[in-house]
Amino acid sequence: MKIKNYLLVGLLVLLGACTCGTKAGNIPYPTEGTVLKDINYSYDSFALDSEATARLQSNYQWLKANPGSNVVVEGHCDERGTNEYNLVLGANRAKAAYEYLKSLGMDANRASTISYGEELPLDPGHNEAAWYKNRRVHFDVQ
Amino acid sequence: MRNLLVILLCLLLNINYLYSQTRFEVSGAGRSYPIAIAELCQLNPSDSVAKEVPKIFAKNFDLTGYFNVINPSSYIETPGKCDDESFAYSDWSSIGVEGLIKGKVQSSGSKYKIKLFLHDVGIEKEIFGKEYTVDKQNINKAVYSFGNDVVKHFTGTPGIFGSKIVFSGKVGRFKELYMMNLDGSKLKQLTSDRGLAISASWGYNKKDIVYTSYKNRNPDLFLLNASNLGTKSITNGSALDIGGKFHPSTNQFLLSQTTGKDSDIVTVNSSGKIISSFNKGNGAIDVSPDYSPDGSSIVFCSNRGGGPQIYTMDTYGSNVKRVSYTNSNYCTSPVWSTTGNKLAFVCRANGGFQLFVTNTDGSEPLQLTNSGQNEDPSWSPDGKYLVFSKNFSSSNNSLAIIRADGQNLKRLTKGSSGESDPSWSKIVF
Repeated sequence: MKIKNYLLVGLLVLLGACTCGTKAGNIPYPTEGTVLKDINYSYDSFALDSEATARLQSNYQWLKANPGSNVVVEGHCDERGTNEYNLVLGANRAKAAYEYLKSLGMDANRASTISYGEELPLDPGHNEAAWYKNRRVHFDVQ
Repeated sequence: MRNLLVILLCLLLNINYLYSQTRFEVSGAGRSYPIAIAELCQLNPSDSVAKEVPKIFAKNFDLTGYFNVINPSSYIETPGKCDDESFAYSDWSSIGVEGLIKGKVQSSGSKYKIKLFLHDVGIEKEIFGKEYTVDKQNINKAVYSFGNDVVKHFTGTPGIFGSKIVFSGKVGRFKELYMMNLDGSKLKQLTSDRGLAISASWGYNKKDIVYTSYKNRNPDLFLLNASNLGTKSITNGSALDIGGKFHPSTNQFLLSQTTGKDSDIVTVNSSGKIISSFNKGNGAIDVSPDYSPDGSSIVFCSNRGGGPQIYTMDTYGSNVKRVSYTNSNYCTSPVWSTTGNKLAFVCRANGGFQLFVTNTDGSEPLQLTNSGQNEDPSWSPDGKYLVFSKNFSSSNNSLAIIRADGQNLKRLTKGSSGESDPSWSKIVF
């Protein structure tokens, strides 16, 4: 019966180490911002509207109050448009948010930017509501 | 209890296997030169090669759009017939065959000797024959070589059987690079970057691929050896580096690099050092560049005129000319044909993105598709076809080919991994 126990432990170790599609990876899981809110954009645009700037101001306040935290500013797009063009649009969105935070007083070294284009949608739907959610910049607190 | 544990163990191992070995199925259909491939005469019995060879031929001829492979169920001649003297051309002409491939296979140690012959049924003559000695896993290479000669006989230019396509496919939530033969065989996963492996492009030989990977948590350019799967970093800054292309003769790469609100076309050497930079600081999004086959010109997408359109320029950044005139406000992903005389790109039209082919000055635009999402075109090595990603059903992408005249749309993969971003090898292997 000791053999049975070893088999069980072995199985659990395998389960724990199993890399079949689990968390270990070089891209994040798409999640909605909680500590720092996501900001959204109009179609094909990287302009910040008033709701975006308001959220950026509140995100900046949090960063000011938590000087030990850095943030990765992720730019995303909806699925329309080509993959390559959307990678660039995502980068532009991330940069727009980053530059605005800097203009409020954030130290340039506290944040980096990255684009995932249309590759990591928050909502897998194919409708206006899903597309709106996916056209976002997400702030990943480090 | 022990049995249950053993079963669970096997299941876990299989799940891992499934995630790294996604399977694709290929489908298609054909026309034009009526051709038949007889089951080979088998000089050693108990082997499947004699039956396999006609199937490989059929799949590849079918993809060209120039051949109508006559259904083997209508063949009159006894399958696998070995006696040459009593082979009757009338068995084939009576079912409408014009080109006939017959042959013999014999195993010899670990290898196979395959003899293949092309017959012109109309004049009742053998046109040419060839002999190949191959390992079992390379039987398809003998078929491809002979098949390309047959295509040359009928069309005047050699076929492209055995050319390879590299593309991105989902592995769980990641995107990795895969490579396959044109007919879908020898599917092989090339990367395990556990991020996004995208924007791949072949070099001018059998092994060089440049692509963008997030494996270092930033979209950087890498060189991949398709043979030993080794990778080498080309760029590693904080910029977004995508759309990498090999220069036809020098050791430089063309790409688009996005650092700020600007996105520029640049060339870098193999250490990522910028050699040239085009229109830096013009505030426009310049993306998706490609070289002409002689390396003297560049085609690219830019929104400098408002919405994204296609432009060409020389390698000094001068003589910039718009070449997309398709009544669309959004055109991108341009590629220069391997024969130098055409451009292909996609434009927003008919509720999605459609493929267009034009002359290199933008004249005579031809729309190849008219529905759905069609993206990421890449030219075949002979400049006659484009491979691209298409959504045949509402959500999943798969790969398809189409002739540059708009004929012969054929699906290449099933879409089970959202196949996208294909690049066709510049040579026939």
